[in-house]
Amino acid sequence: MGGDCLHIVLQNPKSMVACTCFGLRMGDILRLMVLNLKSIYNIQRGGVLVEYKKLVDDYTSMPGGLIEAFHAIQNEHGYLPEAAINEAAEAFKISAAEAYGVATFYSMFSVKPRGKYVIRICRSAPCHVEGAQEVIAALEQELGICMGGTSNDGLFSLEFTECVGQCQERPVITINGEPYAGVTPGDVPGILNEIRNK
Amino acid sequence: MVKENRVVLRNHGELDPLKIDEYIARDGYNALKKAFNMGQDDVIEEVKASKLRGRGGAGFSCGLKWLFTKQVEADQKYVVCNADEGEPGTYKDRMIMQYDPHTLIEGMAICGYAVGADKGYIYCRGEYPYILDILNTAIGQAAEKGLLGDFSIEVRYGAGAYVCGEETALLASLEGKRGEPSCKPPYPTVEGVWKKPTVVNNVETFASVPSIINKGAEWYSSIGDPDYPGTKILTLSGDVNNTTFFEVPTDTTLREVIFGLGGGMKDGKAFKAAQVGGNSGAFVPESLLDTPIAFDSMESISATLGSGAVFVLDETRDIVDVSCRVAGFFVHESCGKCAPCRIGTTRIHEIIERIGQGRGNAADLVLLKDLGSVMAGSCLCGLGQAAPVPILSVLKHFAEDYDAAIARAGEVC
Ligand SMILES: Cc1cc2nc3c(=O)[nH]c(=O)nc-3n(C[C@H](O)[C@H](O)[C@H](O)COP(=O)(O)O)c2cc1C
Ligand code: FES
Repeated sequence: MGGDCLHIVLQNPKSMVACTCFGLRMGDILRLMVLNLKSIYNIQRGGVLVEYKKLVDDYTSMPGGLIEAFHAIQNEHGYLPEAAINEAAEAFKISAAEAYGVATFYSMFSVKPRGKYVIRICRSAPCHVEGAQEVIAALEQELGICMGGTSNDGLFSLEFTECVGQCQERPVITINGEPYAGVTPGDVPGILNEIRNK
Repeated sequence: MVKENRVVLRNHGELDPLKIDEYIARDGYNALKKAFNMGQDDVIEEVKASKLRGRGGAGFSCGLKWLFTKQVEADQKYVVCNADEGEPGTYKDRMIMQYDPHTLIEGMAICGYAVGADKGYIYCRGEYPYILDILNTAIGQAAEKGLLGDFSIEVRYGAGAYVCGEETALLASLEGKRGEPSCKPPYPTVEGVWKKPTVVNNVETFASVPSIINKGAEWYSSIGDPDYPGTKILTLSGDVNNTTFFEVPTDTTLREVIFGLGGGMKDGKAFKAAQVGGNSGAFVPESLLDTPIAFDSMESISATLGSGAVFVLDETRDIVDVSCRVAGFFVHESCGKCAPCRIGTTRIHEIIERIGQGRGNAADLVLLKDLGSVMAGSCLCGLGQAAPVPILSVLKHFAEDYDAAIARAGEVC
């Protein structure tokens, strides 16, 4: 939404009025503009746009390769930045809306920045009855954040997941895809420290 | 005492999955060689005669499915392996792919030859990133040895969407789109990925095929239940002693699974319920445990074999809480394309949550049953159609738990 508004505003300053009708306050829009201009500046300075394009180009010849391209971007950047989604849309010759629709359909893709390590906690019934909630509480307390949040040091994000197919020992969490089965609240500090020391 | 019968898992723990020679030394790729020397129709006939039925949940005849695709005239056909394995409590497909990938590859190649497809895809759930290298290494080794003929296989990854296990949604995802299901017909066998005839089978289904070709349809169809013969891999979780996986003949009963192989209830507690087939499966009470796991026997008690997950609960578990979580799963996983599912799953969850919090009343139970029957009849795909199944089963077999929760609400007021 923010990005879309920005494009409209940049093309036609009068549309700011329209945006305010959508419930965005003038201050919000200005803040968004500054944020976006800053990131556009950063992107161009760092050549990130070129990098997105390079990542995407590896998959354009693959029929239906958009999801693979998104995996590649996310593996590299931890999430799917708006500019990368736009770049992918262009490369795959689909609308930005369509590409965004794909990006937001799948729960493993994030369109918001996340921590370097994404911890997902399985809350499906088999893990639920064996203490997933207590493991969540331990993680939240240890990191000082709530589910869905990212730690201040930018290292960890906490997300829910449904079953990850490691149900032989429960509850299960994954860290950047790597499963940890049979986790207890007592294991949590050790696991986090192990990651921090990597 | 019930015993395992490892057909699909015959190589489990016996070989290094990354060494094709070890697979070959154990009779590997003999079935494919044998198939190449049979006519395409003969291969299909053999699979049909074995009475192998899909292990992904719907139980459709594997041979018939192959025949439908074989019969269509097309310049290109595809073989797609459904490795989206999303039913909570299930990890059987992972066991096959992680520990014996060549069995799957061989099964897919036999299918490719039989139906006339030279391209295969394995659509693997995104939650299994560590399997990618294993599959690609195995595919590469088989291709390098020229074992697959002109058949090639590509591995594609999902990104966390249970609905992509539904075959039309899976194919949409394979095409790089949102994984939303579409109306059938046309069935994928006739119009599948990129509108070309496509066989979609589960990992376990494909992995059953090499043994069938090697040992013959008669051998296979004599194992287990006559109408759903062969073996099924089950994964046990919950309050049993052995929460692990077993491959058993399909005439094995739930009681044998839970109290035999499963080692009985943990800590000597009493059995309360078992949810069979994953999150979309029914909760089965003690009185029905002598039912064999075979597809039709399970259906006769309004339950499903589904993915083969067996989630066991003891007497201390709160059924209302568990069914609330089960309902919550569907809220998260409904793709939102059709209204009965999008709204129905949300409402079911809301009502159960309310009851669990002591704010329910007797009318809520009527509402749940009504909603359930509407969804079963009007949702676009199996996700929404099956979402009420566990809830309705709980209301049927464990009504007293719901009544008690509602009575508690009366006291609060
Ligand atoms: C919501 C939903 C989820 C499904 N998930 C899976 C799955 O994870 N794996 C699978 O093999 N089949 C799944 N299926 C069944 C497939 O649609 C399809 O019937 C199956 O892949 C066919 O293979 P089979 O005949 O070998 O079982 C699912 C169906 C529905 C409605
Ligand atoms: S139920 Fe949690 S990993 Fe399967």
